[in-house]
Amino acid sequence: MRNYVIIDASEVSSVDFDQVLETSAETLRYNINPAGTKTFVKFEGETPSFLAGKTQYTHSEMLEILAGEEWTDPDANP
Amino acid sequence: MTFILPSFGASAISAVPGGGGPSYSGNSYSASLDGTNEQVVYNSTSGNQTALGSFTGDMSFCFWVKLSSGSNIMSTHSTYNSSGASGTFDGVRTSTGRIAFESYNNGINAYTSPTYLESSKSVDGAGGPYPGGRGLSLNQWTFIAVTVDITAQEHKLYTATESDSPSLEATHSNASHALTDFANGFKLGEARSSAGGGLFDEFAIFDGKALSATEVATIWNNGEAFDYKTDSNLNPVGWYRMGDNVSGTGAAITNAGSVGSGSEYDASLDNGASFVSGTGNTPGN
Repeated sequence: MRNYVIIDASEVSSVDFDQVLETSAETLRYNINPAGTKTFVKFEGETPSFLAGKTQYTHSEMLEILAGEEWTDPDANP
Repeated sequence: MTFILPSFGASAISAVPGGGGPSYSGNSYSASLDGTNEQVVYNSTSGNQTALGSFTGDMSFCFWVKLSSGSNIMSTHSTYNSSGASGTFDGVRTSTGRIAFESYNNGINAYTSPTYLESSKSVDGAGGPYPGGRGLSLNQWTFIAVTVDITAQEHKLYTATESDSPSLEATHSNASHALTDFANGFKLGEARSSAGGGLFDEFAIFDGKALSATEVATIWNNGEAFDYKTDSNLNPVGWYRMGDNVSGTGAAITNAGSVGSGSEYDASLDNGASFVSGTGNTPGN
C-alpha cells in the first residue's frame, strides 16, 4: 500500500529519493494556490525517518486533496 | 480462384522494412499512472532537440488511453515555430467530457476561432457536427489520433473505442502556427494541476506524415494494439509500447519506432508509475 505525505517546499532538500517513489526533486508536483509552497511524496513499507510524525494519506484521500483549488486550477480546462 | 498465402515466422515479420527496434510479441502491458504526480516522460537530450527527428513538416501521433481521474492526457513541449518561440500542445479531458487539444505559444493560445481542437461531442452525446463523434468516457479504453497537415494547414482529431471504429471528431483549419511538434519531448499524464490518472498504451509518433482516415483505421486495428512492423508505409519514428519489449520491468520505455534504439530514444516512468498487465489493462484485452 502506498502512503502519501504532504511536505513544505523547504523540506525537499531533506528528502532521500531512494526512500520514496518520486524520481527526483525536479519531477515533484507543487501546489498552485498559493503557488509552490507545498509538494508531496509517497512511499511503500516503513516510514522514512525524514517523514516521521507527518500526516499520511491513502491514494483516495490524496486524490481528494489534489482535486481542491490549492492543487488544481478549476478554470484550466475548457 | 483460390490464393494460398505463405506463412511467416516471427523473424520474418520483424524484418519488414520500417520496423526498427525490438520485435513485436503482442501487447501485454500498459503504463499505469495513479493520478497524483505520476507520468510518462520523454525529454530532449540536448539543445532542445530530441533524437526522434526535426518535426518541421507534417506529423501525427496516436495512442490508447483509459483515463480514471484528472484531465491531463498528454502534452508536448515545442521549440519549433517560424519565430523560434517555445510552446506547448496539451491534450485534456474537458469538464464536459470532451477531448480538447490546446496550443500555447509563449502562453498565448495559438488556436483561434475555434480556440481548441476539440471533440464535437461530450460524453452525454450533446452537440457537434460529426455524427460519429464521442467524448472521452472515464474508465474506457479510447484510441486518440491527431494529424497535422502543414500544406493544408489542417489539424484533425480522431477517436475510437475498443468496439467503435475511428470517427473524425474535429478539424481545425488555418492551424499551421500551432505548436504540435515533439522537438522537446512529451509527457503523458503530467505531474501538474489535474494530473491524469489511468492507463496509457501504444504511443506512436510520425514525423513527415499526416495520417489519413484509412491509416487511422488500420492502426485502430479493431480495438487492439497494432503491430507497425507489418506496414512499412506507417513507419512511426517513436513507438512507445509501455512495458512490452522489457517484460514489464524497470522504468525505461524503449522506443520500438524506426529511428533508432538507445537511451536517447527512450521514455521513462516517473514518480512511481508502473507497468501493468492482465484483463482490462491493455486495449482489446
